Formats: sequence, C-alpha cells, structure tokens
Amino acid sequence: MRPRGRRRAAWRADWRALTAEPVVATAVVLLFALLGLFIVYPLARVFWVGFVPDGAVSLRLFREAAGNWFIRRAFANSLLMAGLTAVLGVACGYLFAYAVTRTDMPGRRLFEVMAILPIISPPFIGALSIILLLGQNGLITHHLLGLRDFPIYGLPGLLLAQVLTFFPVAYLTLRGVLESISPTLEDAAMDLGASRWAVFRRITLPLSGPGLASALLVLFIESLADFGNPLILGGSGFPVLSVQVYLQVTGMFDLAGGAALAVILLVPSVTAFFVQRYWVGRKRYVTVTGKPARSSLKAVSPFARWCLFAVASGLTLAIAAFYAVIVVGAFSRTWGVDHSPTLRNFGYVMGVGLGTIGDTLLIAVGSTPVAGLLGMVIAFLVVRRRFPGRRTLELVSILNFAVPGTVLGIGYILAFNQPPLLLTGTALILIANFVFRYVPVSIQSGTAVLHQIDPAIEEAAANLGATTAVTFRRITLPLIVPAFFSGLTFSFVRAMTAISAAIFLVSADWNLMTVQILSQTEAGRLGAAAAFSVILVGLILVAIALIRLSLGRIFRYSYQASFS
Amino acid sequence: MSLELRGLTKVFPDPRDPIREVRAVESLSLAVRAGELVTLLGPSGCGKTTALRMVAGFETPTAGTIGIDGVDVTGRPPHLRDTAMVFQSYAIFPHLTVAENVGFGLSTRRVPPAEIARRVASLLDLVQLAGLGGRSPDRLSGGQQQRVALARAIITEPKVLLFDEPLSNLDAKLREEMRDEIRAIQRRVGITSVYVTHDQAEAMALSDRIVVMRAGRIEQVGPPVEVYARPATRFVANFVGRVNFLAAEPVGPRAVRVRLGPATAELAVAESPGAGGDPRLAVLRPEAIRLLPAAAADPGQPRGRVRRAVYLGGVAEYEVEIGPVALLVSVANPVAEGLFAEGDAVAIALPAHPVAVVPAS
Repeated sequence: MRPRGRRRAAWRADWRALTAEPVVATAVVLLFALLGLFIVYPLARVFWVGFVPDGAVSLRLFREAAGNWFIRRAFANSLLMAGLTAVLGVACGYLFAYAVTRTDMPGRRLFEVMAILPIISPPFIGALSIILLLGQNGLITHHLLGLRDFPIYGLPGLLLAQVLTFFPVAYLTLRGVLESISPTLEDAAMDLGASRWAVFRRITLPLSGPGLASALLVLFIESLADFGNPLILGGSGFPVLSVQVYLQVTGMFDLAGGAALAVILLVPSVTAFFVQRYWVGRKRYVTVTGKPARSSLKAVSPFARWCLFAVASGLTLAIAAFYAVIVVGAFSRTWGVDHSPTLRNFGYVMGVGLGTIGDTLLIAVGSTPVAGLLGMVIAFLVVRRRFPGRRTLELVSILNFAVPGTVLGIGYILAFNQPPLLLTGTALILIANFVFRYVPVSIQSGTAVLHQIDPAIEEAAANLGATTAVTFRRITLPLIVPAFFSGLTFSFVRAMTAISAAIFLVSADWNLMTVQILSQTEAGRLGAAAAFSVILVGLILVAIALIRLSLGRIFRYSYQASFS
Repeated sequence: MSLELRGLTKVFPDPRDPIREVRAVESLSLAVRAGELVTLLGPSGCGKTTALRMVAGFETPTAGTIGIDGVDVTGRPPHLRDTAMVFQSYAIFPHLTVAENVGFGLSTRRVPPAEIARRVASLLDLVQLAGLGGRSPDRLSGGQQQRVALARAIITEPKVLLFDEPLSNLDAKLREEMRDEIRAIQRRVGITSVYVTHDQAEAMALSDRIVVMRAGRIEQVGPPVEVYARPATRFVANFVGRVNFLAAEPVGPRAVRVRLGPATAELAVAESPGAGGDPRLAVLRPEAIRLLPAAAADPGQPRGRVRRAVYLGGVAEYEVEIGPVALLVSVANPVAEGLFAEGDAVAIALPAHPVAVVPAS
C-alpha cells in the first residue's frame, strides 16, 4: 500500500473532474475567493496585528497580557463562566428534553414553544430582565424583598442569564439525541429486570453520552463568546475576556492589544470546536431503525415524572417571567419608581431609533437570502462534487462556529479599514459579516438533507442530459427547500439579534437595534431598552410567522430544524 | 399452569380520533402449560403484539388478569415480573459488548461477576456465538444479533419467554434456520414460551399449540395439525394455508354434497355438518385434490380446464376452471405425476378422506 501515491492519484482525479465542468470550477474558485476574503483574511489580520506589533514578529503583546493581573483574571473568569454555563445549561437542557420526549406530561407543547423563545431573542435580553427583576430597583429584590444592594452583578447573575439563554440550545440538540434512542432498548432493559433508575443509568445516559459531550462543548463555545450578558452583568468585579477585547479597542483605542486578547480568546474556543468536530462528533449510536417503535412510557416512575414536571415548569416560568418583565418594563413610566402604564418609552424609541429599526431590518433582509443560497451551494458542492480542497472548503466555511464574535469584529475592522477594501462605516461590512458568520448553519442543514437524498436522483437528471447547474436548480434545490428555508430563518433571526461582532462595525450611518438596547441599558434607560427589545422580538416573531405562513402552505414540512 | 390469561382486554384511544376507542384485545383467556410453546397467530392489527406486551408488562390491561405460576402479576412493572422478551428489532444495547448484553439480566439481579462470566460463556456456546463475547454488536450480522437477543433473554431462566416476531427482519433462508434453532433451544431449556407472528408457516413449524386471533379475539386454539386440518371458522381456514371453499349441502350424518360445475360430488366430513339452517362451506386444501388427464378419467368424474399453470420445481400449482368454479390445485412431485399446460382438459379427483366444514359466514 502506498497512501501517498494513492492520495495524489485521487487528487488528480478530483482535478480532472473539476476541469471537466467549468461551472463547478468557476463556483469553486469564486467560493474560495469569498471565504478567503471574508473569513480567513480577517482572522489572519488579527493574528498579524497580534504577533507583529512593531513591524517584527514579537510576543511582546502576549507577554504584556500575561503580566497583567486583570487580564489573567478575565481569562480565568471566562473559562469558569463558560465551564459552569455549559454544565448547568446541559443539565437543564437534558432534563427538559427528557421530560418532553420520555413522558406524556401535560403542557409539553407549551414547554417546547417557550424553550424556543430565548433562541430567537437577542442573547443579552436575559441580562436586561435580570436587572429589571433582581437589580437595584428590581421587582423581586427591591420591591418584594426590600433589599437595597443585592449583589446581582458578578458570576451568579451572569450564570443565571447565560443558563437561561443557552440551555435551549442544549435542549434542542439533546431532544434529537433522545429521540434517536429507541425506547425499545429501555423496554428491553426493564424486561431483563433493571429498575427504572438502572435503565436510566445503564442504558439511556450512556447512549446520550456523545450528545451530552457535544452539547457541553457547544455551550462552552457560545458562553465563552457571549458578549452582551457579561458586559451588562459582569461589571468591573467580574471581567471576562470577550468584553475586555471590546474595551481594549473602544475604551483604550488599542487595536493591537485587542487583537492579542482576541487571539488568546480564540485558543479555548477553537480547541473546543475541534474536539467537538473531530472527536465527539464522530461517536454516535444509531439505534432507531426504520420501523417506528412503540414506547410504553413505563421507564419513568410517577415520582420522577413529577420531578421532571417541576423542572420543566420552573424553567418555563423563568423564561416567561423574563419576557413578561421586559414587556411590562417597556410600558412603565420609570422602572422601580413609577409603574403606571405609558407609551412614552415607545415614543422615545421612535424618536431616536426609527432609523436604527430601518437599518436593522434592511441589513437582516439583505444578508439573509445571500447566506441561505450560499449555504446551499456550498453544501451541494461539498456533498455531491469532488474537487481539490473540498474538505478545506467545508472546514473554512464552518470555522466561524468557533470564532467568537468579538474576534471576528476586530478582524473586520483590521481587514476592511483601508482602500481598496474600505468597508468600515458601510452597510456592506455588516451584511458581509452576517452572511459569513451565519452561513455555517445553512451549510449544516443543507448537508444533512443532501446526505438523505439518494444521489441516484441527481444522477438520473444528469443521465437525461442536465448539466450540473441545471441539476442543482431543477432537482437539488427543490429537494433541499426545507433546509434552505430553515437556514434562512436562522440567518434572519441571528442577523436581527447579533451583537458581539456587530458592535465593532456599526457607525453613525448604520446602527443596529441590539447595539441601541445595549447602550440604553448601560446608560440606565431601562424603559427604552425594554421598548427596543419588545419591538425587536415582535419583528422577529412577525417575520417567522410570515415565512411559516407563506411557505408552510406551499411546502409541507416541519420548521423544527430551524433553530438547531 | 404456568401462564394464565383471564379475560385480558386492552382498549386504546383511537390515535386519529381520541374520543373513539380501539379495542385491541377483547377478553382473551388462555392457559399455557409449563414448557409449552404457544403461538399467537393473526394478521397485523389483530391484537397479538398488544397481548404479548401486556404479558411483559409494557402495557397495562384495561381489564382481566395475568397469572404466572399461580401468582397474579397484572399490576407489576416489567422489571418485577419474571418474563423475558426477544424483540422484533432485537433491541441489542449498542454501547455494550455481546457478553455485556447477554449478561445484562444477571447483572440487574446482582449475580457475582465470575458467575455471570461463566453463564454468559455457556449461553454463547448454546447459541453458537462462542468467542464473540468481546465484540461490539454493530459488527454482528442480523442472524448473530438474533442469537444474542435470544441468549440475553434466556440467561436469567425466566418463567415465561416472549417472542415478538423475532424473525421478521431476517432473509428467507436464515429465517428457516433460526426458526428451527429457536425451537430446538426452547425444547432444551424448557421455558414456557409465547411467540407472536403473522407467518403461518413459522407458527406451524414452531408451536405446540397455535392461537389464531382476529380483531382482538381468539378464533381457534389447537395444535398445528388441528388448526390446519380442522379449522373452526372460515377465517382460520383462509389464514392458515391456502384453501378452496365449496358450498356444502348436508346429505347424511357424515357426508356433504358439493357442486362442481355441472357435476356434483359427495365428500366425507370429519364432524356432523349439522342439519339444514346455516349455509356451510367444505374446506378443500389445494394439495388434497388430484388432477388426471381427461382421457384417462372415469366418465362420472368432474372435468375442467387448466386456466393457469405455475411450475415451482417441488410442486406445480394449477388454477382449474369448472364452469363457474375455479379450483386451486397443488401437485407435489409434478414431473412424476404428469405436468399440465394452460388450456389442458383435466379430470378432478376429490379427496376420499374426511374434509372440514365451516360456517359460511
């Protein structure tokens, strides 16, 4: 066996296949150029500025960061926060998913719907709610309990916000995992004399293992990259790295120092990403076979069922409280002082923020279809065509999963702040950022669907004389329409709620609602922040409803995959 | 008595219309003797799997009781009754090795590891998987997975062994092989067994007794020969094997007259066909009828024409047209007996031995 020779032969075959189809070749070249420009180049700039601060390669910035006790604490805090959020969030998500998939408890539909809410909201809405509920003038702390200086700033408040924000992500992943474990296995174990607890401990839990590990890593990455919650709730007492990157750039005007911190922040994220993708992601047990198994739902004892019901209700109630308080806050005169109903906050928002609302919608609507279509094209090429660099293309295009938004934000400033690529201050830089930041989700749902479509269908089209472009347009695209629109919905929601990268890229001409909410919160205008949030979530819900109504009627498919 | 079901009933809400209900099993009463293998046979939806799942404890009966060795276990959860099931999908635990799968039931009973290892090894021997204990189940063939499932179920020596269509995922040749093996192993270990299938050949080959079910109720219980040769109802006759029904008119205490086109013939019957009243059908199995070349026949014999001939090697099957009647005839050793082609004129020899008679409705 001569692997090198064989690999070279395979590469040559790929190359021949590519040159035989000019359309594919052009698309591949174009994609590599785009991904290189908007993903690789900005990241490379971050590394360049971090490692070459004074025209020569030097570790000076990193030595400075390591020597700074505040930065060291921020790094440790980031890891602590991300680790705890991952563990608690996955625990909540798993219990929630188990309750929904393994019992017939009342209110399951409501639980499922409520768990989606945090996913379609700006990620720092939890922080805003926590301040309204538990802050200095908080509804619970101040008015119910009469506490003056309840220490909500710091790790506990931050954890509460992050767990409630991110547990739904774990829930969606783990629901899929639990649904893929055949209930017959649990029946079989029980039949062989295992008690209910033993069934869970020896069968269900180990079979969920790979899914749990994967969810842990995903939540770790998301929590590490989270920007809004720690900015609002961390304060100076609990600095974290993602916020320090931002403060370094905007507070101290130190781009190079910010870049160095960004590189440091990248290390744990990218490590977790590669562990997830190449180690945990490979391990999976497929136990559901073609025939649907009848579940007896006997594996949960009445007592356990009540405990699960309590957990699910508790989480749902907490989410409901979070959103209720935002709505109430938006219609209150002065939070904590005068709760008489008013539209003043909305008047204020319309006065100062109407342009921002327009900008936000325009940029989201502009970036969404591009991200959706690009995702499908990449998925199609990666799954169905062989060409040199196929794996690289896939890896680069989903690399942004692992890159915290603040890192990418710095990268875009560094990359596009001078001619010929002068994009800073334009809408284009925001659109480009959103497109390439959220295209991985489209790619993943596209690849998942394509793997399920028999290649023979496309081969039949080619056999009947269709070119690759015609095959894609007339056969593949209609078949992957569900994945396309779920990617579309996701991209839209994310573009509307993005903050961490966007905050570097907004300008006087092009501002975003999320940035407005954050700055209103920081300025203490909680009513205005709440009003902005209500409008933002309202717009997202209307958009999702519109997409569902118009498309759900044409294509009968489930949107459940939209947010996973 | 080893397993006794009394008035077992299961009513589900209709999945399409929750206000209506589906009566999956309707007052099923059955006694299975120690060491016996009884098959529940019926078309899909007849309630046989639901009945089995009630015995295992996966479904709670709406009414009725389940007794194992004289103890009422109706209200017990699955892990507290001494039953073991071989599932249709095998339900092999994918994260455990073959040996860990087989030993699972013992480990839940806190048997010492050394003892478990010893018994697993002897069970793997029994199902011809010796030496594969360390394997991961995803590296086993379908037949091997089936053997693991069987070994796993019998290792705890349960009082009742349950089979839920265990062979339906195997291809035809392997299915026959495993069928005989299951029978041999069940005989050797002597565990009282209930076996669910919709395949009548499987039921015949395996069972001490067959319970034919239809729409949640028992149609007939009896040994395979009885169910085949003396079906109690038209449904049983039709479901167990292939059949010709001929309208039968009683002509004596042990005889009926049937009409074959212009001719009539008298047949001996096993039991008294009953006087007048309800219309009756004589049950003629295809292999009980013989065909002769028309030229060689007696003048009084009924005659017909071959409408369809299918040569299958071991047997030839013919559809013979006699006036308005079409008879299905199956001839063993056809080369020696003489082959007929489509369109040939033939004479029909009806069986001389007593046939069964069932009510027409």
